[in-house]
Amino acid sequence: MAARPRRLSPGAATTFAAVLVVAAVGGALLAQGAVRHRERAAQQDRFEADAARFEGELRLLVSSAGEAAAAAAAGQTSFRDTATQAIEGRAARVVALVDADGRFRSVVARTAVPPVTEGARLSVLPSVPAALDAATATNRPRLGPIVSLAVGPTVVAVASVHPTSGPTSVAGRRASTTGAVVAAVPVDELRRPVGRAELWPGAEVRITAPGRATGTRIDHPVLTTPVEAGGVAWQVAVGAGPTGRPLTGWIVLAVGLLVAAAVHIALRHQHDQRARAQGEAGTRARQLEMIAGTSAALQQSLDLADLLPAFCVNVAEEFRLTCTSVLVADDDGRFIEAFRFSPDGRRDRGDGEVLTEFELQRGWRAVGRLQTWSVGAFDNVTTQSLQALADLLAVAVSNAHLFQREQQAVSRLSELDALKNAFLGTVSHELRTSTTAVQGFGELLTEHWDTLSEERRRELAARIKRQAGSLRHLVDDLLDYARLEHQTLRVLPRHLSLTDLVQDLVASMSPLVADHDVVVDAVADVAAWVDPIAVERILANLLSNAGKYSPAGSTVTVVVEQQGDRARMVVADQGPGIPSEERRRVFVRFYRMSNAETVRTRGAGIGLSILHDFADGSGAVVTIDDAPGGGAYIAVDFPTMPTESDAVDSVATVTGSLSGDRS
Amino acid sequence: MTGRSNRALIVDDDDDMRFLLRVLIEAANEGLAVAAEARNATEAVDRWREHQPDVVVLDNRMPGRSGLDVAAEILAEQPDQSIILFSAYLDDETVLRADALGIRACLSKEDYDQLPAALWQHGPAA
Repeated sequence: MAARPRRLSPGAATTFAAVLVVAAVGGALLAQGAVRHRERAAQQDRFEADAARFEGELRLLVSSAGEAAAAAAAGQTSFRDTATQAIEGRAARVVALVDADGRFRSVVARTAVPPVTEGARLSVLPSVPAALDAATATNRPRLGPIVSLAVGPTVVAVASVHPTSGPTSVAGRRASTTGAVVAAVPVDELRRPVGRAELWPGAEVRITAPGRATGTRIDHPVLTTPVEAGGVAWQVAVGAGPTGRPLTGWIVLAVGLLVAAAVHIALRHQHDQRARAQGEAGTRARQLEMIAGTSAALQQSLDLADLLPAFCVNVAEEFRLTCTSVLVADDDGRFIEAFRFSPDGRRDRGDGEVLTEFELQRGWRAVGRLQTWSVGAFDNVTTQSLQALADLLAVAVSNAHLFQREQQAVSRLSELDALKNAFLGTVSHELRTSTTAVQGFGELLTEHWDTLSEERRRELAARIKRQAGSLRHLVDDLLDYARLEHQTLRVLPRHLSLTDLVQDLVASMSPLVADHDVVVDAVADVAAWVDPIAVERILANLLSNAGKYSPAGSTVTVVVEQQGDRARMVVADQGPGIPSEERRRVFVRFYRMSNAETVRTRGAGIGLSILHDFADGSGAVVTIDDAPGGGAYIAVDFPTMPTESDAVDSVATVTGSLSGDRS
Repeated sequence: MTGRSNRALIVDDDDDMRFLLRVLIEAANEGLAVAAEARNATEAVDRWREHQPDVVVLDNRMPGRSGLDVAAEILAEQPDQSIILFSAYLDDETVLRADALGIRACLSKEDYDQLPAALWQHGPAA
């Protein structure tokens, strides 16, 4: 198939767009991540610098609060006392008691603080460090209300710090807030000490108990301190929360690319499949068209010589075969190459060429085989198409065979018909000539007896006798022929001396070879298992033949001898002989040799065929050869004892045959 | 009729047939005579040139060339030669061809006894 220009499929376009979008998103995320990462890093640096400045203070606050809480928990003193102690001991600026639900139960501060407003949150306190600084320096911090606490129950309270008593409204207090104080307050009731609070941007407090670590991880703690309260060892950490993950963008991009690649591969696969299906459908359609065309072509003729070349050339072109060959089964089922087509005329299969065979089946019978050479193996569609073509070819080959057989039968019949017509003509001529001669001679004798000389009269009588013998021979042949046609001729063999029989018969058959010198050369007492009538008919035909086909005055030799375990009878003449190519045909009924020498003779053309049938029925073998001095040499080898077939059925029946196949 | 002579050339491949015709002609006497005999086409043409017979009695079915072939050759040389086709097997086609060639008469061998009359009919005086 020809390579087609590659076009971007809809699937591929979608994939491409998806890749672009993912890449854009990933790129944006990457850029944003990078910016955030830079910001975080700068913030962390600032935070760490700030934290370092207040580290001691924070530690103090936390540890003092822890002690106060621990004392309160131990029941030594009231929370307020403890808290006050802590405050006066400058351990803490403010101590708040927060219950499990996050409500402030009590807040102790150095100075009176307004009531705590629940839910107040510290969002941004940019001035915390400065406020702490100021409070530490004056040692008289003015505490504002607690404005922030962690979500949920926590021990951490954050109070605002403002230098003067501020406005009473929350918004007013917030506005006047200049700093914050952190106090850690453990409570007995505390059960879920998990939470976080942002002290200032980026700074978070995380409190954990063993086995209950939840909440935000603190990547870079600036303060970590244990707090023992309520029988639980708490851990309070203050530090920066998790930093941004610059890798996210990369991961998103990578995942996006992977997804895009996967989508692309899936779409590509789908597209390829569709293209392959379309290609296959196109190929299939073209091949079906070709098969239809071939089917019509195969019906155009019943001659394989016409069919096969066209078939092989078409198939080779359509399927790009380097060689196409059709083998046809002969009558014995052997495959014989009937036609081979190779565009470059090669006889040998090249490297990498694949031989594929398709049986030509007709019913159960293999009528032939289609062989192909191709570069590479066939796909399914092609294999199916070629098999379909092989099936069509099988029908054509089978039909061609049937037609050929019919034609042969017709040809044989018409040949036989021609031979029969010639036979009828010959017999008519023979009969009319002989009867006319006999009648004419008789009439001359009766009407001109007195005027004819004595010598003339004798000659006429002799000729009458000879014509009568010739007529009898012809009539015998015709009767034998009629019997053979109806398969009623029977051979009844018995033990007898072939020598004696032949000598007697030759003496009685002299009219058949009246113009010849007959020599009998017989070995004494050659025994044979034969029917004397069969021997007589065989010998009569052999002598008649010799008389007809060899020149007058020449010698006809009759030989009887032992030939191995057979008794041989030979008649040899000095005529032209029987050419080897004619030897098979002379036994065909009605056949007469067609050369100029033999057409001179008379005969119905059934003598040798009758001879052959008699010999066959007697179990004898007829051999035709050249006599030593030229001329025909016909030997008949008779059996000397009963044959196996005789043992089963002592009467051998001669079957009539119109062919010379058995010679 | 005395003194008239009618010499025939007998052409037939069968020895008995030639003999029959010879004896018939001789027995009929009356000036009929056998000029010569021939056994095949080649001999027939030779004997004809040699003996210049009045009538040629010609068998048709002979080995090699047929009687009609011989007639054609003779008549090509001498168109007024009297020829009687004397054949055992006379079908319509043979008779038509004989007529077309210029053969005077066709006689079946069965009617051999009419040969003397036919010889006179198609002989020199005719």
